[in-house]
Amino acid sequence: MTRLATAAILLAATLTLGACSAAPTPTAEAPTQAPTATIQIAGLSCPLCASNADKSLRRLDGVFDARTNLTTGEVQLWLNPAASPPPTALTDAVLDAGFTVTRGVENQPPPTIAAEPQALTPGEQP
Amino acid sequence: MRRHPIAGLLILASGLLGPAPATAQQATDMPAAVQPGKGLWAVRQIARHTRYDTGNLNPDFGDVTQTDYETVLAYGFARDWVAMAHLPLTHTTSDTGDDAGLRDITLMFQHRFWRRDTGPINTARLVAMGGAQLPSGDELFSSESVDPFVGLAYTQVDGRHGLNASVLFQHNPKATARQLRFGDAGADGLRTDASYLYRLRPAAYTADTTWSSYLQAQVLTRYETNGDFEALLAPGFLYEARDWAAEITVQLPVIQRVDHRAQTQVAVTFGLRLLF
Repeated sequence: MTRLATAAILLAATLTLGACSAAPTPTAEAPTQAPTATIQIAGLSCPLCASNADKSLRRLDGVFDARTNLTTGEVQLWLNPAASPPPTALTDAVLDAGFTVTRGVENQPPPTIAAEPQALTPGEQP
Repeated sequence: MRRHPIAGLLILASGLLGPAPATAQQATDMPAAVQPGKGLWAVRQIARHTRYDTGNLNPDFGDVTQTDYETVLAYGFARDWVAMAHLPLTHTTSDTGDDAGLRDITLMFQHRFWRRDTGPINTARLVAMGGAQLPSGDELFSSESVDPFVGLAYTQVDGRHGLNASVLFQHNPKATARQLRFGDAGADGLRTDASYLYRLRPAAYTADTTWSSYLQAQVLTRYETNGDFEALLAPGFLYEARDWAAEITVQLPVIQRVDHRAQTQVAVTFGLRLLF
């Protein structure tokens, strides 16, 4: 019975990892456009550790990509200008990853205000 | 050759898991105050080949070699909390033949209760850990008892230098069928470990840094309440990329006063870590 439970645990782990591996990943190449916001963090330790911060930020809705500079601790963010997450969500993501925010979000684009739809005259194409 | 029916399946499943994950500037053979962030998985696959001398238990016994394939899963379920599971498959070769099976499974929690980040790279962290080794049901490799443990681990990174220190106490109420490893003799055990890691390359991080390599030196001590004491020196190498790391160490005994279990002659560890 115990062995059966162990096998079940291992199988579940295998499936979980498979699911994790299938998760979308950001492009390996650096984004061609300039970052739209930055945040400064501390305690990165190493490239693998810094990846914790990048992955936590990328999981947020409205974050296209996040890249940490190990020299400066600055994280460059590529945000969706139409639906960027609030600054508190970005800092929370850094804290969740286990790091300290030393400078809050800067240069974040203001949310785009959708234009009021205009009434169309009969026969006019939108 | 005696092989448990489920062992083959587990070894196969372990192979399918592929490289196992891990995190941070962490020495290979000891706990460290590093863990995946909230909502992130880390998997680590360790293969350790150990040669034991059992002549101290019975002069007629020969050497025993043991190869462990351990999968470690860690999940950050809260900001400073991680749940971890260790699934250890094992294979031994001795004069009496080969055996394969499943050692006791470890379930544990780790809580980072102190952190001081002093620069982009520099940090110091403390974690408390607690859990238990649960019986696997394998009569040859399981102690068939619940073995609880508690411990602390400290990690500090200062530029190219990394330090780790840990202490862990484990209650071992029952012995296993074979007394090879620390804790197998059924005596409570205290592990105190320390390590130093030196970042070889790059000498300084740049905006484009995506990897780093380290030399590591570990001192591992094992004290058991039956009087057994062992200290091992374990030099090694660690390579870290953004999403994975690879490591190798060699454990060599420097002090051995062990009368209730086999003496470690040498252990070679290969590790792979993945961060999801």
